[in-house]
Amino acid sequence: MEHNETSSILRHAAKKAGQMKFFLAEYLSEFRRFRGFSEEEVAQFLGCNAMFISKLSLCRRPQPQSQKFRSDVELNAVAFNIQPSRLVQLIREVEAMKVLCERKLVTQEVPQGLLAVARDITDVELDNDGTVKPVEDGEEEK
Amino acid sequence: MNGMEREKYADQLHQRLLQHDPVAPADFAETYLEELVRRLRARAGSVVDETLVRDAATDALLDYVQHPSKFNPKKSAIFTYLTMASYRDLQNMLVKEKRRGRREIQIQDVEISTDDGNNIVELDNPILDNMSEMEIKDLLGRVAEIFPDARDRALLDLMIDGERRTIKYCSILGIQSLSADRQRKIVKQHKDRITKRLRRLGDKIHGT
Repeated sequence: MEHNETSSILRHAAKKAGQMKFFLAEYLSEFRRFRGFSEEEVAQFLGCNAMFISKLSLCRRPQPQSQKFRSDVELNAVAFNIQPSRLVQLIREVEAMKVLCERKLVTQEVPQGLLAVARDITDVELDNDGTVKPVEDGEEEK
Repeated sequence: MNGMEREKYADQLHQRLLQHDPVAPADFAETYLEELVRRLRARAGSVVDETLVRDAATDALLDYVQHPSKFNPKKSAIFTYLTMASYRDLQNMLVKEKRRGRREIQIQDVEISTDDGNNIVELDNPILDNMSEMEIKDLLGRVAEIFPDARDRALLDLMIDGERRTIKYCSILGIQSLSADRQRKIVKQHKDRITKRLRRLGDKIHGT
């Protein structure tokens, strides 16, 4: 019973932390969204138990630009018994997707994960300077 | 963990937070958030919405783990600091809720008053509306001190909201089964008692 109370409070905190750049929570939820994963699938990807995801969300996010990036990832990996390479992959993937999103190549709706995104990107017609070519009226129906 | 061990562990976590240990925020939340919620709930009283209590405790803790240098261990124990911080957050939330509620009621009242003009309730509070957020916070802190009992605070809330229906006060006092006359008398006694305390607080604030 007490354990349930703790998990529910941690889950609530993890949700709030998702709105703050400081925590890993934001990246975990973005990764889920991009990949179309459930919480269990994220845990499986990292190689840890799903019950640790809330706590992991409340960790300080390792900054790839920082000199401490490697040691921070390792500390997280040891604490949660996860694969360091998977955590790095998750962080890098989210960072890459964020850059892509900022360039407006990807819409907010990503129902089928990265494959769907990749497919969308190859379908987009680009101008010479690499920006998305605007669709002319009626062109969509061609 | 006993009290001493908890304090010692909190100190260790504080040091880890200062050193930017990435796992320290999670360890701190796992160990202390639930207790913080419990302490805040006890201080706020059972009349306060559980969601607000949880939000305030969580906000205070998340803020602390991001900015641990704001806390000075020489001045107080970490739990005292966090309980005070979350209590302040909670008071702010309650003030906002109250203001929102007051605005909503005022809109409804305007609509009702166009019908017969008899149901207008004066809900504007020129004193509170002219005070800064800090002044309101300070005042609420003092009010909470002179009304440590949750039931008194609930009665006070009704009075501040301009509630005039005796039945509302009766449900807080648990005297619904008494005769209407007796209910009115008891409610009046409680209102007078609260008003006296408020008057004394007002005198203290104004130094009279």
